[in-house]
Amino acid sequence: MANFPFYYILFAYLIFLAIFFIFSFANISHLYATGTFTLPAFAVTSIVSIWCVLILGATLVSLANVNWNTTVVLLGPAGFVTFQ
Amino acid sequence: MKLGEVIKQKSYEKIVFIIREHWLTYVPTAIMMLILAMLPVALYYVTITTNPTFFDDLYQRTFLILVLSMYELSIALFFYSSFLMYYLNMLIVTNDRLIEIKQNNLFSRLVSEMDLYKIQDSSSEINGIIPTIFDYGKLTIETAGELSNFTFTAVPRVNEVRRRLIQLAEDDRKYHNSTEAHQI
Repeated sequence: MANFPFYYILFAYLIFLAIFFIFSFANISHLYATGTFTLPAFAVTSIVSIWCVLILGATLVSLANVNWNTTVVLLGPAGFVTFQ
Repeated sequence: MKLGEVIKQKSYEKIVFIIREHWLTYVPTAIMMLILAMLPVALYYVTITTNPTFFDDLYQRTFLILVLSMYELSIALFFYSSFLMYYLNMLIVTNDRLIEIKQNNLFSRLVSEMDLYKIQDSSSEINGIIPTIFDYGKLTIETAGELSNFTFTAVPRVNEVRRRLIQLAEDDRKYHNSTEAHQI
């Protein structure tokens, strides 16, 4: 049986976000470094940026009412995963 | 940074044209990414229909939202990366050189260049219904000596590009011959 606070899952999400932003920055840097930041590239960059902002915004709104201090119990007597 | 700085453009050199693969070659990738992005929506409706109480638990729902967020952001990143692979692959033709830039992956780029006067021959090939309708095909540039040939696929208006390349190579050869004659 293992217990951990629910906000531990947020740490994993934050690590993912850090990797995501590093690679996104690398992509945009490539466009700039190769002198190819033209109109089509700008358009695609804008579309992808808007898409990402919408995803992050929807995630933030969806998770506004969650109590992150809840304890997650793995393999406890009440079941595989339970919340206290 | 400008493209001229990337290719170390010389003072007398002008970029004549830049060739990228026809945009149609990227459409299948874009459609696949769109389908992958819409997949969670389809799964949601299937789940709601078969098990209406599946999303009732707040914490289970929270975990799924986080997973979905990571999935959609990954799709966005893969889409953008694949677009960059497509967009950064190009053939730059100047009045002096031919420069091919191949972006193999995010951190791997191959740059090859060839002087125009070394071009012996250039051939174009269009195969298939869609390439014929949209006028794009394979361009092969043959050089003298031991230099390997350049091959570039899905070149838009490939026949016109071939003709212009041969003309540019001819002009560059005349320039080099007259320069050598002056030196002699």
